[in-house]
Amino acid sequence: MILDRLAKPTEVMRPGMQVSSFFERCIRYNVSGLPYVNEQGILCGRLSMRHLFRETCIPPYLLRTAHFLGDDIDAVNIPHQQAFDLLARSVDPFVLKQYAFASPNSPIIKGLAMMEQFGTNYIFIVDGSDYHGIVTRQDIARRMIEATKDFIL
Amino acid sequence: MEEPLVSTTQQMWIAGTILFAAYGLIFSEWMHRAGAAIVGAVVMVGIGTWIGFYSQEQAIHALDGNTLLLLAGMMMVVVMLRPTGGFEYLAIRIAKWSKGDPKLLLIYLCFAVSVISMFLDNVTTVLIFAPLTVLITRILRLNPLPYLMAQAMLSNIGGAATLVGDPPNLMIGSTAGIDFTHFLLKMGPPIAVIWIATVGLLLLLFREQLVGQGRHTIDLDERKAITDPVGLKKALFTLVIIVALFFTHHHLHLYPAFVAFIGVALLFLLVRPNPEPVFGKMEWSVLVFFTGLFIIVGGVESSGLLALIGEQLAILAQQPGMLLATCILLMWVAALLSAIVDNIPFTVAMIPIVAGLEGHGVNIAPLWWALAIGVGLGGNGSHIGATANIICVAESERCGIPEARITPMLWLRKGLPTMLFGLLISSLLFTLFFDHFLE
Repeated sequence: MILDRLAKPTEVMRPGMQVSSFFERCIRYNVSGLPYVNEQGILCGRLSMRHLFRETCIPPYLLRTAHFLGDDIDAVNIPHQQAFDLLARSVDPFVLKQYAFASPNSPIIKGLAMMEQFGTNYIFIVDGSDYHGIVTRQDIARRMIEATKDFIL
Repeated sequence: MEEPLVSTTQQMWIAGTILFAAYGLIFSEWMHRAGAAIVGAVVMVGIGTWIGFYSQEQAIHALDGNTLLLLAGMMMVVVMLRPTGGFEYLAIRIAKWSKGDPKLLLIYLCFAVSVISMFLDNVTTVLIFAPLTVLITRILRLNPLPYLMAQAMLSNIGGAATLVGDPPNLMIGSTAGIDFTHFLLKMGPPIAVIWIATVGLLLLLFREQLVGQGRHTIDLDERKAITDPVGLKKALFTLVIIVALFFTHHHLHLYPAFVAFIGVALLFLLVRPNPEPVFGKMEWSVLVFFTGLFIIVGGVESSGLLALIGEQLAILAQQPGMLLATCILLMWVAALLSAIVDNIPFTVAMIPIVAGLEGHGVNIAPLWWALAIGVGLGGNGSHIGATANIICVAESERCGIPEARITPMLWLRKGLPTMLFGLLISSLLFTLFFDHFLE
């Protein structure tokens, strides 16, 4: 099985687009990251929900203390205004230059290995400068279950 | 009969130039201080061997094995203790005991940090307490700034009380042959007085920020903070053994470094940790930095320059009634220099000078204590005076609260008076109880 058969086409993020657009697209395609292309349309990075939340919402002092936090911690919660401000911001400062990508003919195991190496839940399928789509771990798991059913039937 | 030192002047100049160049490289922060120390050490040994005032054998002998191994051993103990969550448990319990009272919270947190810093590395202590402090103060809707600054300062003060609390103390104790109990008996009382006075001054300096913002519960579960209860019990058991052996090591004829390694061995037997993370998390750069400094200063000592400086100091200290003045001068110079630059290189350079005074018939015991107090308190004078300060400044910048940001000027406004106040009290205590420091 090659990755291209699992790739689902998504929109890409472009310079100047807002965080709200990024979130909307992630929700629409059920992914946690999207490719980012420059003004010439060339893939040059990625946007990650995890990275964006970590950079904007989670104060560093909560990262090592999360396991003993109670529920009555309003003082450190995300205020509405902060959420509004975040959604209106440009995605440009949050672009990660490193991203996992594979060619359409790459096998699934290569995709899984690259996701592991990059610490992501997805991989972009790229043919030269053409972006084909995204493959997530869920897509691979779904395909495994389907393949097993086909085999049994 | 002393050897004439005039004949070695050229060697002294060369050794002194290498020392100043190496220290300049360290303080410029153009490269990491450990790297700068290695460069300095290699140049000192190379040129010293070529000119003839230093050799590779002498460089090896210049290393203070007791200090290096004690540091390494205690680092391993801390690395194994830290992931258990014990520190976090303690911080939350303390915060809850304060019942949200801002002043009590400051006193309790600072007391805990100081006591821990007396036995363990204060950098680790502050690294763990700083994010927790920000969290707790945010929950209580308080500005974390006074708490972060106070913790850094009082961890520095707490560390000054014991032989193992601060690296300069390790070096002083190792050279002077001072045992743990003796160190604590001499330094404990003045440090306790300075601690109380400093807390009082900080409460005064930060009185506007230490005002409660209504009643808020600290909804943190300390039981969940402990991630490895069995490991914590074993680590605490080992820590008790180590502290007990520190108090008795001179009776048992054990080096403090050996005591630390008894603890490490015990922990390896009890916890059987994966050695890779234990060794990986050790601060090797600190150990390398110390090694380089010992070799650099060993070269200067070998050239005779430190003996010459010691002779000049001895002229002052030998005069009747001038020993106290020399001690106070040393304390203030040590403190002021430690506020500007790292106190470790200064201490490494001063130790052979003070040790050499003994040969001139000077009672050097009070000079050791003056040096220890000076370098211990000096770190509070500026934001770069101690590593604990830098950690707290970084935490104040990372937490994303504009009013909590500790700027260098702010540190000077609050830290410098605190340091000077501590030094004044120390000078007063030193003068009033000079006999206490004479042995």
